[in-house]
Amino acid sequence: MALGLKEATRKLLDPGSYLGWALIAIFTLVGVYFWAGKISSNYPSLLMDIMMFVGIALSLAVIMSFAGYVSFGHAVFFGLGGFSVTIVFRSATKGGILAGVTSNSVVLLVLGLLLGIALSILLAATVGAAVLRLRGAFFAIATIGMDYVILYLETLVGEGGELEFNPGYTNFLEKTYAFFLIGFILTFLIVYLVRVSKFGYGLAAIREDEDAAEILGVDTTRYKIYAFIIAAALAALWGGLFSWRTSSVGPENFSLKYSVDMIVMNVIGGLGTLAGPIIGGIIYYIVKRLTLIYVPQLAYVVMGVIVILVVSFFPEGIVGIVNRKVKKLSEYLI
Amino acid sequence: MAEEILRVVDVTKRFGGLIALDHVSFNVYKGEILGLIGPNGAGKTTMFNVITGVYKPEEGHIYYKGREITGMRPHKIARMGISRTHQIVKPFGELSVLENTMIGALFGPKHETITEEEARQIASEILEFVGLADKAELPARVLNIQEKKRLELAKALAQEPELLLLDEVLAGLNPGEVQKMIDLLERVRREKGITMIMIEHVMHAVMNLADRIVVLHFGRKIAEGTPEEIASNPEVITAYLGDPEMALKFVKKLRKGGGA
Ligand SMILES: Nc1ncnc2c1ncn2[C@@H]1O[C@H](COP(=O)(O)OP(=O)(O)O)[C@@H](O)[C@H]1O
Ligand SMILES: [Mg+2]
Repeated sequence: MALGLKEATRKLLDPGSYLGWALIAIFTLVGVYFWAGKISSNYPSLLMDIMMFVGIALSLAVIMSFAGYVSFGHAVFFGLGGFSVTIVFRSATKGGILAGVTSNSVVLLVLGLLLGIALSILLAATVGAAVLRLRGAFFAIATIGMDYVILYLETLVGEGGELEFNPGYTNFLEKTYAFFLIGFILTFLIVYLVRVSKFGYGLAAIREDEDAAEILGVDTTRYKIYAFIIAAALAALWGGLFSWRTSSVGPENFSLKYSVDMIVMNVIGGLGTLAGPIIGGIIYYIVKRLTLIYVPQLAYVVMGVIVILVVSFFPEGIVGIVNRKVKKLSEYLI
Repeated sequence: MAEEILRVVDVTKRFGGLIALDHVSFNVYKGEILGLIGPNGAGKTTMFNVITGVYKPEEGHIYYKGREITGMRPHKIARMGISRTHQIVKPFGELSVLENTMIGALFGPKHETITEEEARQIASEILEFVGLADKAELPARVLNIQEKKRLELAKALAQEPELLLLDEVLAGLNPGEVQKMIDLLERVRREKGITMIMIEHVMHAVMNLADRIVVLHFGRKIAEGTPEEIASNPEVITAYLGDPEMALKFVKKLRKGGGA
């Protein structure tokens, strides 16, 4: 949006992009060793978790953190992505409509992802047109409604349980790592370019004062819907990749709990920035992992206390604090 | 007079039972400063909200450069070249002063072609012009009220508008700051040649700056004319009697006029 190819290329070399590139470099390097058979799947598995956590946090950031609209319905798009991938694979087995068309799992995955993204865009555009008129808590509450409705639809098809499929298990983890890496690079590029474009300025203006933004020439209605659509499409991408990885989809994929997790990652990291969801996603993952290992019963308590502390005492999140204390870093943590 | 830039025809705006604007009509001509005055609650800010598309009037029409803009969305109107400041300032608090001003430039009439670099350039020049250059990198929320008023002006000017609506840019300033702001507005007129409608309570400022004045009272236009005509208009003085301080100022102005 109003960002030419030349300008975009230049922006991708700005300091604000370094954090993302650094992660991509690490993920790629580990991938190279993994694909070459030099390391076990332990680290790659861990990094895939991180890619997904950061990926979904970034997807939600577009609407929540950049535009200031806190959506509790984001897991719906995540679930829709997973559901689409599952349906595509299942319809390629005997008796399904794709049976005999192709059994190539990469093709099926891409088809499933595209279907999920398309459905999410459709849903975001229609639901968004209605709920994005609401402000603050009213918007947030309305989006909770999405969770309920979709959960119901999903249980109808899935008869209340998990739907499983067979993704084809030759070199499964190697393939999965590659898909996750591609997904992460795409997500980072899109969200980064949103952040540093004219579109990003418009969203920031909407977040700070929507009426003032509109009067200053920002087409607030259109921008909000675009942001919602981009966020939804990226969530669907990750939902699809996640279902591929677990070879299944279930009601949990759509659950409000997932939506809340994504919100928490953004809040911990810091709102209004690109670095916030990246760092928030990583920290959320580390805390969750460690607590599940050492104090499994208290995992949610620990996370809850962290959230309360951050919101009460550091509402600007980790990135906000770091930028305030170490001015030099604010060029990198945009 | 010069070419007409804005024509307000018979505009009525109600809030429930309250008639905030009651069949108000006036014209604004290219290059002039039109003062819009009236006691608190007279409907001045509502007039700006109707012109900029925030509210749709129940009756009447607004034409900008001959084209009807009644009921158009605010961002469309802004992009046609009408910018405004807010009586209650509306800074984008967490964004820097420069970014605030850049957003003005990015989404103004040039929104389709302007690049970020050009917007940054324009914003820097405007911040220099309004005297906020040294605050460019600060988040807007830390500015004091005087600086926030200047930022309002900077954001509007960065749009490079043809018509600028100023809603009490002098309110809340101390006398020294008022004079500086008046000088600044003089420069806007002289150097940029922008047409302005100015809502103002500081009488000597309106009397000095405005070419013509429109007076609203309880949503009705009760007078229109040159500052001299307005200052000696009995109905205007009566209207302000509800506001003794204001009435006093008028009487003083009258006496001064009579004595000279
Ligand atoms: N959004 C609104 N809803 C209801 N009443 C309003 C609204 N905006 C303004 N008013 C009322 O309209 C009248 C005119 O207000 P306003 O235009 O702000 O006056 P002024 O700017 O001349 O002081 C006042 O009585 C005010 O209370
Ligand atoms: Mg007012």
